[in-house]
Amino acid sequence: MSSARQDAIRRLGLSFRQKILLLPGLAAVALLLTLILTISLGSTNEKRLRAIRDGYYPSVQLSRSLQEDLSKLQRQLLDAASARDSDQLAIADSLRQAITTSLERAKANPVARVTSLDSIAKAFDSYYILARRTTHSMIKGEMGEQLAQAQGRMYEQFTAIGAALDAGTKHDVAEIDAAFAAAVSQQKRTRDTVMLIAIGAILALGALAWYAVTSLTAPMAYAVHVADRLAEGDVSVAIEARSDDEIGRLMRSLGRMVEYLRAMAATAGSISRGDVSATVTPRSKHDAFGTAFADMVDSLREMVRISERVAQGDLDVSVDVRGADDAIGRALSGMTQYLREMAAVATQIGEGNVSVKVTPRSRADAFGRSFVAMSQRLIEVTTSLRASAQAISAAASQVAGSAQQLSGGTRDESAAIQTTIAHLERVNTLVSRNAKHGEEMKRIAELGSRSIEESSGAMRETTAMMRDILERIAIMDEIANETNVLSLNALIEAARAGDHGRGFSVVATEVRELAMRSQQAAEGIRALASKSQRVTTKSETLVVGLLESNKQTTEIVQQVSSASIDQAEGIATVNEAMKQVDGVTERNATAAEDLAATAQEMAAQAEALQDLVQFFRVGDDAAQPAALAATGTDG
Amino acid sequence: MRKLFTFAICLAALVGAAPAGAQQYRVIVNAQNTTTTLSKEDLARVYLKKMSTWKNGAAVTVVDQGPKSPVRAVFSMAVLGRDVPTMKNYWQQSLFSGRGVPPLEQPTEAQVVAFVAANPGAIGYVSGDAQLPESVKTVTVTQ
Repeated sequence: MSSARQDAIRRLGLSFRQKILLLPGLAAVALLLTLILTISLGSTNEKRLRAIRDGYYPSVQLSRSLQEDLSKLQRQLLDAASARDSDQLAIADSLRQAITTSLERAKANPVARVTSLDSIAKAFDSYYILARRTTHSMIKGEMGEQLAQAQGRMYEQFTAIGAALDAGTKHDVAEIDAAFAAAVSQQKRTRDTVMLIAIGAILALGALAWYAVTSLTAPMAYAVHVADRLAEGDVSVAIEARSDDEIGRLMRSLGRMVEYLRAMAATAGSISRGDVSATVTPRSKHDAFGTAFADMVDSLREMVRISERVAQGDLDVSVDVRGADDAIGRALSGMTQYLREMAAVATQIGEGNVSVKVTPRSRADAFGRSFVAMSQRLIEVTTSLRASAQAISAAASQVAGSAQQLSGGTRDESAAIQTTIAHLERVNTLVSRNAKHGEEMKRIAELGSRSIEESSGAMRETTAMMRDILERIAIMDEIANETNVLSLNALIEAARAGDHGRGFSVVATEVRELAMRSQQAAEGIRALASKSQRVTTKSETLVVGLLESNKQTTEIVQQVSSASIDQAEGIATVNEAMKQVDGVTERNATAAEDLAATAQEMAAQAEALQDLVQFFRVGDDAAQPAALAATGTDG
Repeated sequence: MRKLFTFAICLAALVGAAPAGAQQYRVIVNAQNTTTTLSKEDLARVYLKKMSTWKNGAAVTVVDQGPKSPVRAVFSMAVLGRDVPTMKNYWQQSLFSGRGVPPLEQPTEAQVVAFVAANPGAIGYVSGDAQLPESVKTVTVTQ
């Protein structure tokens, strides 16, 4: 079947019952139609045949007999005329009566045309009266125009009657022919119509049977396919009701079932993902699946509620074990029991009973094993803590003593440094003075330069002296450098080892020696300078033209002066460093004092620690609770 | 002129009737009729009502003498070839079987002449010695 036709059939919305009932229904209608047609056409034909038998045929017969009777009558009249016997007219009268009676009877014929019969009867009467009278006249031997006229009228009337009878007969025969022809054609028509109805009914029944079978098998196959998919657990199968018949209703029911299964599958899926918030409403009081699901969800929610309370630490929850099969209930119950026991163990430990007896329930009992390990570790720790506390106490006392000693040492050190500083300040004053002297020398050298202009010989001497001065200055420079380096070392040492105060005194000694050497060098320079001053004074008048040498001398003096300034700066730096060393030493002293105080405090704390550690019982010094020992062996 | 004409007719009648003796016949028509001669065969056809019109198309009205008239017996035998009772029988059968109507019969010769004189299409016959008015004329019957 084409899809368009299927659509059209679907739109009809016939159920299978209707489709199947349609077959005998159509057959019955066809049969009934045939029957009605046959009966109605048959009865028409029968009416026609009956009309022929009861009407037209007797009418023709009557016509014939009337003509015969009429002939008889004429013969009789002729006989009477021929024999000139008026008595014979009586016979003619009786014949006339018979004819009149026949005509009267003919009116009873169903197809009789009464007016025609009446007119024939009237014409016959008129004719007979005329004929009888004429005959009578002829018997009497009358003649003349009157008779001739009567005879003429008689002839005409007789001819008219004959023609009327002939016309009637012709009409009847024509009617018979027509009725036969109609009957035959009707018969033919009936046969054709019945044949048409039969063929139509057979075709319609065939088509209907085909349609009923196909419209039953195709949706049935589809329904089987859908049911197979469902049987395989495929609830994603799409079900469309392709018709409004029983299969369509079946498909819709299947669709609702699939929808229900899908909803249940979705609920089960969300439960499997841990979501128990899904609400399951049983679809009816017979919905065993839905009711079981709802109960399961309720039960799971109860379990979740208990688990959440346990997760929040509330171990007072009561778990109802519903029966021997309630594995979840028993598991939850066991869990809460276990947690309660563990809580009891933790409480014991909290109370200081670190040697509480815990037996792990299985190899996998990490909690239990951890508790055991913790207990053991706590025992160890407590034991060693006690020892440590005692040791700390002893050590703290020692530290306190040492700190006091350190404090005293540092104070001595500080005094030494301050002495060093005082010396350095003195050196500084000397160096500064040296610098001033340098300046002075420079001025003198300038004066000398004017003398150089006067004496070049004296200048050479002055130059030699100046070389000595340069050597001395080089030594001073070296000393100054070493002093610098040492002072740097002293600084570094001071920074690194605040508690090693002795190093500083060594450095201080070195610095002091260097300072002395500097001083000596400065003395030498001063002597040389004064000698030079004298030589210069002596050379003033001698060397005039030694301008070039004098210039060099001036430069050297300038260098000396700047070196002295540098030296002074270096000494000032050393002095500053020593001041910092002194600050550090002072802070060390303060720290040493603080340390001593802290050490005393620590000793006191060590005493308190020893008291605290006494809280933990390690088994030898406290008895374990009996209940804990009993529960510890469970599971 | 008329006397001469009458004479000639009488002569002719005498000549015609001479072989049959005194009972001769003469065929008469209305004076207005243009027919002058008629063969015996045509005459018989007229009297048997097998010829019903004149040559000009007018209807023929046949008049017979009474059954007992001697002229009729002569005429019947001479023209129709049958005697009067046979003819009478013939016409009765015709009349009652509806085949035809017998000719008009006039009881007397005078009535025959009077009818022919009164009807332009009429034809009749009279005895040879009968007196004829001017309103009728005789027709010569040829063999």
